[in-house]
Amino acid sequence: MEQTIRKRLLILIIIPILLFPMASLAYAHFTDTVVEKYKIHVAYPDIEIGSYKVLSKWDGCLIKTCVVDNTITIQTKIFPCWYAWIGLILHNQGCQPVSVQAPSYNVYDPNDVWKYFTHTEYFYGPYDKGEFATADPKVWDGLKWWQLPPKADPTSPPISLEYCHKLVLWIKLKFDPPSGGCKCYCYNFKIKISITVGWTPELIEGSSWTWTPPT
Amino acid sequence: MGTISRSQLGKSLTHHYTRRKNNLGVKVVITLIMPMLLISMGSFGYALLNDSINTIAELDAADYHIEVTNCIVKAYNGFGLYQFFWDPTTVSFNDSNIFPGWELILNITIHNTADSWICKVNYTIFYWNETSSTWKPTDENGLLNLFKLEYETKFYNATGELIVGDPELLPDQSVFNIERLKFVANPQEFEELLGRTFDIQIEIYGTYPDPDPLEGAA
Repeated sequence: MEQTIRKRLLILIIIPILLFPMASLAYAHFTDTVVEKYKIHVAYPDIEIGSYKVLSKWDGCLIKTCVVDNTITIQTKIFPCWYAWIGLILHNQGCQPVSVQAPSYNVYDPNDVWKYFTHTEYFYGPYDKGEFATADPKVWDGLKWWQLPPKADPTSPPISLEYCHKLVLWIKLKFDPPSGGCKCYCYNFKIKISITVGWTPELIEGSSWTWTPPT
Repeated sequence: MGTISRSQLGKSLTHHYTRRKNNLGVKVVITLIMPMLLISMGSFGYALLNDSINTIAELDAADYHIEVTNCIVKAYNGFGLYQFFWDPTTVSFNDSNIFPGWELILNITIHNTADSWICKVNYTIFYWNETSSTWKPTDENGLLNLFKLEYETKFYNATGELIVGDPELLPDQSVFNIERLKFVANPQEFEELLGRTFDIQIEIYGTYPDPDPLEGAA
């Protein structure tokens, strides 16, 4: 009884094994194909911080900065009329143009002092390598805090940034409580301001190609 | 109580075996699913982190701590009947016999402590108003008019250079303050002031710096 079952099982397994190659062989004999293969990868837009600066009358050892990935962290203590310039060179490292948006602000403000801050943003560029070399001393290299904002015409966002092109962004952040009106500096307040510069891939318009029969 | 029947033992063993088998299954599932989950989360995180550039400003209120680290009597021409002491928060000088021409020069070292922040050092003059029993603020001219006392103060940095304007100190930095008090009453004024006691107080304080005059100067 067991032997019969084994034989049947063996037949059930072996016959399909034999039949498949035979069928494939026969199919190959009577058909032929050409194959088109497409392997496409969705490009990811990638902007990196080419360089950065934090300039203030009260910088030096008074402002701690560090960069991890694409995030700059600034730590300092502030007082009325304190201000700092945060400078960034945004470098498009991806392989497609992107549209750079105006910075957005998100705050953790348990002491309700964000209302006493002012912020202004200045974009310069975009520049390719040659253009940036010319513009660099005017908008970036060697500038001191009192020489900001740069004496060049700023660009309004959103800004189209081509592959390998650079954009200079200066952000002025100032703590400016009204004199006498705000006593917030009399106690220990803290605030965490997150400034995000976002971008979106730029859509390229479709070509004007129309369907025509091949000649 | 305290014994176990055979059927219970059997159940217990079966249960133990099932648990082991389940553990194996759980481990396999964890081995397969955890990397899948982590890879998905990592990809999402990567995508999330890399479509923006972030600047995080962590800002705290500046707080100030200044203290007296030294004080010496630089010059004194009185009768020597004075009491003088100082500690990190106070300098006290009492003289019971002043006269026209009496003069005192104190050299005070003021230190901005390491846990403080950049601060401007300034001072306010007060005098004790006996009528209202309060300290009233005044200035150099007020002191001269009320008590015929000339008051002068100057600040010097560590290299001995005179600081023009209010000194600004970095954390863990000192400034040297020279204060001069001179009684300049003429004989008639001296007559009028005879027997009076003057209580004056100079409050030196550390506060936030003045606005940057170069801001936006470009």
